[in-house]
Amino acid sequence: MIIEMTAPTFIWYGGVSTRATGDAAHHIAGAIQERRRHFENSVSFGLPKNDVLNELFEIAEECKASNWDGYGATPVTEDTYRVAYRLLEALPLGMPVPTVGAEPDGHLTLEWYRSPRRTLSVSISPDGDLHYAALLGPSDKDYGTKPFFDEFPKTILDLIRRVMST
Amino acid sequence: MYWLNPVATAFDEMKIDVTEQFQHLPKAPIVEAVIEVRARSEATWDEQFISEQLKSKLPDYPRVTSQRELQQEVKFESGQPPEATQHDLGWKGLRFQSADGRHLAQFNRNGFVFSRMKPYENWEQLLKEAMRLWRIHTDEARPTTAHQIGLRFINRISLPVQEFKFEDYIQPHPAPPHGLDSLLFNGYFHHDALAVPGHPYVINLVRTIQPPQDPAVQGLGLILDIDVITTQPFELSDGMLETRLAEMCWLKNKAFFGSITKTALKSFQ
Repeated sequence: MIIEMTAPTFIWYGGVSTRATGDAAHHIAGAIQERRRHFENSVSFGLPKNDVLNELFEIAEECKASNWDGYGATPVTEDTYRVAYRLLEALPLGMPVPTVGAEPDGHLTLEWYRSPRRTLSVSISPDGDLHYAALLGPSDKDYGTKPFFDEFPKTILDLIRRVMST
Repeated sequence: MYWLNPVATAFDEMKIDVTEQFQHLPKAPIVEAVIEVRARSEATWDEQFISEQLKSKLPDYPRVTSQRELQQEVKFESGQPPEATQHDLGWKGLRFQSADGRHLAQFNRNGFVFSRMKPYENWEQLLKEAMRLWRIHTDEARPTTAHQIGLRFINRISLPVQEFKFEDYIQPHPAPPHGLDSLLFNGYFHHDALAVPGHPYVINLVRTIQPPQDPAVQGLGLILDIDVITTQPFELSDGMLETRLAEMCWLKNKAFFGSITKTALKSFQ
């Protein structure tokens, strides 16, 4: 038996489940939620995410007025804040959490930073588009746009792993 | 056993044989079969216009429910009781149900979901109806890219009210830790996410038990939930969706027949 483990070891790597409607489907969804909450209540899995959600709230509050940067910046709207909040909530347990920032165009940004040449930035628009750009080494980069459908896009999850892996 | 390293792992491509025949089970334990296509509408998703169009095309689905997107938020402040607020994120789409309640279809701004409730007939019937409704959806939404397809079969195997052994029904079966073999299961939940080498699919396999609604007359339900999803977006060109679904159906069948014991299979015939 060969087990090749990559850190972090406890992650939901099954992608987004197909939406079913019956009793059995609700039972399964409830059981998954219960297990997720169980881990979110732990310091090692839950605390980092709570901290980043607080950080998001503070940034959105600071940047909700026009000209928040003194150079004519567009305000961060409640819609953008909600998309960012849902995206962070959807981040699988055990994944590294980002730092949060705001851009002059009113987008919120999440950044996973390992070094100047290994970094991932995700810019969140109010309509739910996620514009991402990653530096993955001296000559490797990736960028694009993914829609947010209430669950974390796999492409961006893979980039987080590549940027943050040791 | 291999753990997929998503950063750098190369495995031989798995052969998917869509011509393989599987045993038909007249009493298959399927309680819900679902086909979902996540694809953003590229036409204007106007509530009044879309509602009129869909209702006129679906007279055989008389029960219609409007779906709105709601977001719940709870604020916690020290010394204050938690304050819950609900935000309406707008109209999402419509849910249609057939007169006999066996078919449900959701037509949303972000995609299409078709569910067949029990009793399940066969794959051909499921696919035919799902594709008919999908074409109605694409007439209105005009999506060009599928961000994800899902094919999910939820099986519920009724267990005896009296004592039973897991190993009579599923493989691999749950077992207590070595040295604590006399322990009794009071709950069970197991989830595997299995990547398919060389193909853009993941199989989510959940095994769990569902408590009975009336324990006096009903035993536990052993749930085997097989959810095959795509992992890459693709263009919705002619025939691509059908091709993907045929491959996903094969994966679903292999996962089912590979998880059920011969004894259990006999009870579904």
